[in-house]
Parts: sequence; C-alpha cells; structure tokens
Amino acid sequence: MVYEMDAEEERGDPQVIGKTSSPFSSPNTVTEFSFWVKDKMRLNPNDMIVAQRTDESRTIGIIDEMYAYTDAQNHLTNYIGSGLGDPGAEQYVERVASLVAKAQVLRNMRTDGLAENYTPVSSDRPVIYADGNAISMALGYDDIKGTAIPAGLIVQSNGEQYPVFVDSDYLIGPQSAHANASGISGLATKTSYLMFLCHAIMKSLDDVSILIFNVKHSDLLHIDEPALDLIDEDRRMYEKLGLPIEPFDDVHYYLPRREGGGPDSDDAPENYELYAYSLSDVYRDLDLLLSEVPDDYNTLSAFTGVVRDRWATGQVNFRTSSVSTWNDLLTCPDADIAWEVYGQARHPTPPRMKREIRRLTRYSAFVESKGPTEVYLGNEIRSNITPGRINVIDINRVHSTSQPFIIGDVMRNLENFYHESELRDIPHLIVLIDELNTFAPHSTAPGPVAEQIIEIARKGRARKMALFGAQQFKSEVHKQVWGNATLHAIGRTGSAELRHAAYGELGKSVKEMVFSLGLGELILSFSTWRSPIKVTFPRPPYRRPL
Amino acid sequence: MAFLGYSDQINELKKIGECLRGGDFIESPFDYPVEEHRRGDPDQRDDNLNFPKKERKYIVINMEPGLADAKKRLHDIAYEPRFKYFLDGTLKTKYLGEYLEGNNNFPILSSEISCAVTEKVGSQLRPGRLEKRLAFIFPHKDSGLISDTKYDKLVRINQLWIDSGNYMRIEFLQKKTDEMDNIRYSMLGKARDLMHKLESEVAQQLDTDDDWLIIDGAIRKSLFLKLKNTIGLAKSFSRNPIFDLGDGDPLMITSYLSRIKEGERTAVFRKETETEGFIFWYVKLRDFPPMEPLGGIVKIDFSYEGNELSEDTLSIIDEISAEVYSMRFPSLYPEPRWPSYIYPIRLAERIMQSSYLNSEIIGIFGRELRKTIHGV
Repeated sequence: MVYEMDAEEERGDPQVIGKTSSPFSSPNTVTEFSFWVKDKMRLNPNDMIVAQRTDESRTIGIIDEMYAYTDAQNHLTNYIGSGLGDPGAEQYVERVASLVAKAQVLRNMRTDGLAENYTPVSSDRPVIYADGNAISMALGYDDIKGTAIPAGLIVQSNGEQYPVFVDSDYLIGPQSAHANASGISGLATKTSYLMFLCHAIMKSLDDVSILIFNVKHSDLLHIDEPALDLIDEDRRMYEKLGLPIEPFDDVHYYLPRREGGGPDSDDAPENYELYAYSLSDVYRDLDLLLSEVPDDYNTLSAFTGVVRDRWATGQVNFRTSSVSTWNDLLTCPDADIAWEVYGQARHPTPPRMKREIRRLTRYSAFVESKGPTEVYLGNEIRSNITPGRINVIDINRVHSTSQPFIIGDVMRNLENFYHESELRDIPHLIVLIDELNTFAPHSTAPGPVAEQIIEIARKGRARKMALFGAQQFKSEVHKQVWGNATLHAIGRTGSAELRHAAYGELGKSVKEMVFSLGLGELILSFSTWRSPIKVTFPRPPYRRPL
Repeated sequence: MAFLGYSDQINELKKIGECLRGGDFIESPFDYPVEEHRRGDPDQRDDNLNFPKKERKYIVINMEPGLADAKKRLHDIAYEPRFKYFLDGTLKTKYLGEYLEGNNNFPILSSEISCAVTEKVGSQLRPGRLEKRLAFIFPHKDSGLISDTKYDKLVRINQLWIDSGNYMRIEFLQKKTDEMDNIRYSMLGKARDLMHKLESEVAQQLDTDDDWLIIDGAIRKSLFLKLKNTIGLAKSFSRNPIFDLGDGDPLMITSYLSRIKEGERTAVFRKETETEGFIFWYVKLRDFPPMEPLGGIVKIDFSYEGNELSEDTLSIIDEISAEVYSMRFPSLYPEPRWPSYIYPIRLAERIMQSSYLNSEIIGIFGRELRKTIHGV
C-alpha cells in the first residue's frame, strides 16, 4: 500500500508534538511505542498520531495510555522534598516533568510503495497528529471491499474531526455482519447510535431493508419525521460525514391492536397498520408462545407439535373437538387433548397448557379473528422486505410476556423467507432489536425465541441478514449473539460489567475511558481494525420524543 | 563543537591507531569499571587540594569573630533570588589498554568529558549549554615512553580535530614519568583537569553581570576565582581544615559542624596562609532523617580578596546562604548524598548522562585501536 502525504506534511511543516522514546527499561515493540509530549501540547488518550520513522516510512498509532513522569523516584521523595510532609514548603524550582504517551500501532505505511515495515519504531523520531489521510490508512479505507459506511467522527485533541468508515461487507455481510451496542441507560446512547448507523447505511446503499422493534415509548415511531432537537454541532458533524440531514424514507409502522381496536402505542404515528394474532396465524408457532414455560419432559412441545402438524383447513381436531380459535383451544376438553396428544384420557399437561396460553394471550393483540384493518406480522413482513423499506414494529406496550413471542414469530418468518428466497432477489435485511438481553439472554439452554435470534447471529451474514442489537449489559446477552458481531459500540459502562469476557477486545486503559464517556461518545471496535477507537456522532435525523 | 556519530568516531580513532603502528597494543577486555569508580570521592579530593595536610597550612581563620557561637540562623533572612546558572562537569574515563613499543609501555585512556548548565527561569529549569570532549590521554613527550615522531603525529591529528570543530582531543600528561606515583592515576587527574578547564570555558560564556552562577564542587583554581558572581557549592569537602574561632581552642571540622543546625550557616573563614583568593563557609540544609555528622551540609566557596568582611559583603553572604538553604527542596532522596545535593545541579548531571557514549561503544574503541595498530 502506498501512503500519500497530505499537503501540510508534504510541505514538511506538520506540528511536531513530541518524539518517540524507547529506553532500555521499556523499549518500543512491534505493537506499541511511546513518545514524550511537547510542553503545553493538547493530547489525550484515543488521539491518533503518526511517528515519522524515515522520509518514506510512517507508523500510525492510537494513544492508549498517558503517564506524567517526574524524576522523583518514589512518593517518599516527594514527601521529603516537601519539608517532610509540609504542604506549604516552597520549592526552589519545579521538578522536571514530562508527559509520556503510549500508543498502539494501528498500521505502518510507506510513501515509496515498498512493503510495510513491521519493526518497532526507533527512538527520537518526530511524532505528529494523524491527519485524515493517515487515519484512512490506519483504519484500512484503502482495503474496503464493499461500500464505506460513515460510522462516526474521530475528534482529535487539536480540534480536527475526521469521519470513520466501516466496510459494508463486514457490517451487513457477506464477509461478516452484525453490530452490538451496549452501555448504561440514558448516557450510553446505544439506540441512537444504531439508528445513526442505519441512517448512514440507507444513504450509502440501495439494497437494504430494515426491520426495527420499538421497545421504548415512542422512541422509534416518528423516524420519518424531521428532527426537532438538532443543534449546529450536529449539522456540522453530518456535513463532515457527508450525510444528508433527512429523516428515514419509506417507513411502515406496525402497531399492536388495542382492546376494542385502534393502536396500543404511545404517541402513535399518523400512518400505521395494526397487527394482531389469531390462532390460525400462529398455530405453527405455539412453541414460541410457550417458550418461557418450563417443559422438562417435552410434554408441551408434544402438544405444539401436534397442533403444527395436524392443522388443516383452518383448524385442528382433538377427538371430537375442533379448534380454530384461541377460545376453542381454551375450552377444548382436557381429555380430548390428552387422548389425542398423549394417548391417554388423563394427563396433567392440557390444563397446565391452557392456563399458560390463557395467561400469554391475555394481551389485546391476541384475537379470535382479525378485523379487516388488522394484519398478521408474519405474512406482512414477508411482503414488505423490499430495498429501501423500513418496517417498525412497536412492542412497547405489549405485555412483557408476549414481547418475546412477537419478536420470535417475526424472526422465524423472516428466516423462512430468507431461506426460501433466492439471495439475489432479496435485499440485505437489518434487524434492530433493543433490550436484547430480554430476548436472547445469556444462558446455556436458549429457548425458541432466543434460538431464532442466535440463528441470525450465527448464519445471518451469508443469508443477507444482519442483527443490530442493543442492551445495557452485554454480559447478559447470549455469547453467540455478541460474539458474532463485527462492530461493537460501547457507551459508558460500569467497571464490574467491563470485567466480563464480552469486553475482552478492550485494553485496560480503554476500559478506564469507558467509565467516563459522555453523551454521544462511544468506543467502537471493528473486526478489521487493530485497536478500538473513540468516536462521536450526531443526534439521529428524525423526531424523537422530547 | 560537533559531536560525531559512532562510525565517524571510529574513523577518527583509527588515525591514532595508524600513528601508533609499529608497536603493540593489549586492549583492556572490560567495559567496566570506568576509572572514576576506581578512586574515591573526587569532590573531596579537589577540596583536599585546598587544605594540603603535608604542608601544615590547614588552619582556617574566622572572619566573623563577633558572630555568636560562630554560626548564624538563616530562616529570617530575606533574599532576592540571584542564582540563574547551575554548572556541573562530569567525566567518564576508560582504560583502553596498554601500548608497547620496544622496552616502553604506557596506558592509553579515553575520557568523555562533559559540562552542562541549567538555567532557572522563574520557578522552572531549562537546559542551558552542553559541551563535550572525547579525550585520549597519552604520556608526556619527554617521558621517554613515546617517540618524538609519534608525538608530533598525534599533535597534528589533534590540531586537525580542533580546526575541524571535532570534539575529539589528544591530550598529554604534563608530568614526567619519574614525577608520578601511578601513570594511570595521573592520566585520570589530567582528565579531571580537562573537565575543570571545560567548566571554566563554559562558565566564562555565561552572562553573570546580573545573574549569579553556582558551580558544583570546590573552586580552587584561579580560572574559577576570576569568575564574576560565582560560588562553588560542594556537597562533600575536605576534612582537613582546623577551625580557629578566635577563642584559642581550634576545632576539628566534625566538632565544629556538629554544632550547626538545619537552616544555619557557619562563620566565614579563610585559610590562615592566604589573604587573597577565596573565603568559604558551610550551610546545613537538613538534619532529618538522622544522618552522619557531615551529612546535609554544603560548603560554599566564594571569591574574595581581603582580610575584612564589609557589611555589604556579609549581607550578600547571608542572602547567598539563605537562597542555598532554600534549594533543599525539591529533594533528591534516595540518591546517594541526597541530603546535600541540590536539584538544579543534579539536573545538569542528568543532561550530561543522557548524552554519554554507550559503554559498549567505548569498549570498542580499544578493539578498533588494536586492530588499526596491528594493521588488521
């Protein structure tokens, strides 16, 4: 690869901010190097810098840790040097002090076309701030196989901002896929980031459809309306990123049916469709409905299997009883079910099953039969996965016992749809789920709903399906889900959580930085980068609840 | 003065080797120890030259006979900071090996001589001048150890180095062989003389019309005594002087200095046999944690001519003492001799150390010299 110097560097006058230092006690290595920082220079962890090895060779690094050295050999030196512990003791002169930064090597590059030089950076080489060109080399923009997707802005301590791009082939497939955002509630801006990323993807690619589950208030129920909360800084960021400030286009909202009709949603959007579930819609998916019910002896799955396999012409028969609606099922004699499913007149499962189904279908979207304006999501979604289309399914007010079923049912239908379709005929699909820990929790034995999500995480990249998930604590999500994600966005997170293996890609100093991230700041880790980086991003370009 | 890269230094060194062809050279196989480590405290040795015992001229006279208890408390003395420059010199001398020719043989030493100045600007220290020499030391030309021809060639090489701005030098002992107890020690002494000379050269280039200079160690040589607004500050000093406080009961140094408490200075003294030159006194920088009797004390040498101290001079002496006392912070604990070591001088030393030649490279000098002498 050939590194091209930018104009300032070519003139030979980039601001030198320090010089590399490789003492005997802590020499530079292939993966990291240190440099002392010139006095009064603004520099912070996560700044990207360039060590000028020779005229032709540069090494780009990201500041990982900073040390404030003095020549005091230990704390006792300072104690004694201050009049044996007298804070008022006047120092004749100040101690010599130096700020030393340690940088992780991101990439070595050359201007002469020769191969990269992987040897450690030697001592006394000048260090400058990385410019846009160096950052593009460090993050491998020259090696992007798909499309460059804006993923945030690097803000250098010298005030410069540079866009960060990720390779679409690694974000939504086929090389790899999936994004995961985590962080504590409120400060971590996880959903906002994933939505910003979706916006960037939709503005960069034509062949993508997005399916969003809205789980909080009306957060994502107005994404086709202009934003009301953008400030000038957001606008500047959008300009730097080369993205228009436009709400999403071609958005379809699906809201749950409320008792008596109408949407059961907060601040419903103007245009929407109601979704509801009759038994005939989901007779194949009763395992999803009962996914949270213990079934140690597989008696429930035997029942759901019978319903799935024997359903015909809009009903299933249990001896003399025909069942075509929820009510039919709940009033069907236990003995009929027991005989048909278990081959005996008495069995403890039918009454238990009915109790559970009664509980789980209590929500207003479970209906005996759908009204003319009500749709079944499973069918509806299949026909609405088209390029540029965004489908938003609101489950915010859906009873928590029914939310997993709705997600699981949609996911199963999507998976079947993507299985049955020719890949070239269908667009890439991004499925965005918040509170992922609720639906695919960390567990050694995932239930049917979690299995649906895990299946996408495991195999989605090859089937043009990508999962964008968010949760407060990544450790509470199934390992297959976060482990398969290419892009990790981490907002402010507590230290106890960061000790979990799910954050293994973060070094010690990066973890310390995660404690103090502010609003709109994230640590991004992407599979093709050598080190995580800190980015900022603008507020999403659509209306959010104030 | 141009410092040279490693290969340039070797190339220049080969000129010495070519000059010495015809003889043999047995190189020292060790990079360590450097010669300085083979001898005692150089500061104390320098100050001993001020008080040579064998001449029995070590009685020192109190120039402040009216000073109660022959000491003065410094805590309440106000001063305007006057010291801007802090100068130190260092040596790193290596025995390269033994040159043999006919029945003669002599050692060849290389000495890396440095002098650095730190400058106080406000409360901060800045690196000032840094001068270096790399000297190769040979016997006196009249010693009979070195032929006239070789001597002349070496002189010519040295002149070429001087003319080209090279920092390498060839130096010769001034004493003849029969005047020396040990030629290697004499060569080390020569290196030390060269260091003092370099210190003096650097000091003379400083603007001390308004700002004052502290030189690390005792000042004895006339070249130092001529420096304006300059004091010598020694953290170790001769134990030879005997203090005549004027009460007819002279005191040994430890008896007298053990009376001095932290933040006090002694009376001012001059040598009994010397009415011109320098005066000196001592300041106790600290007395805690418990330390040996002369620990925490610095000796101040000050160029002064005359037998009497004027009020103005005494006032300057008090202010100098108070300012030196304030230099105890920041401390250099736990470095050797830290109780009487001041930070600006230590920094000057650090600056010099950071430019030392690698000891392995110095070790290679002997090897290269041998190869060149042997025509390899």
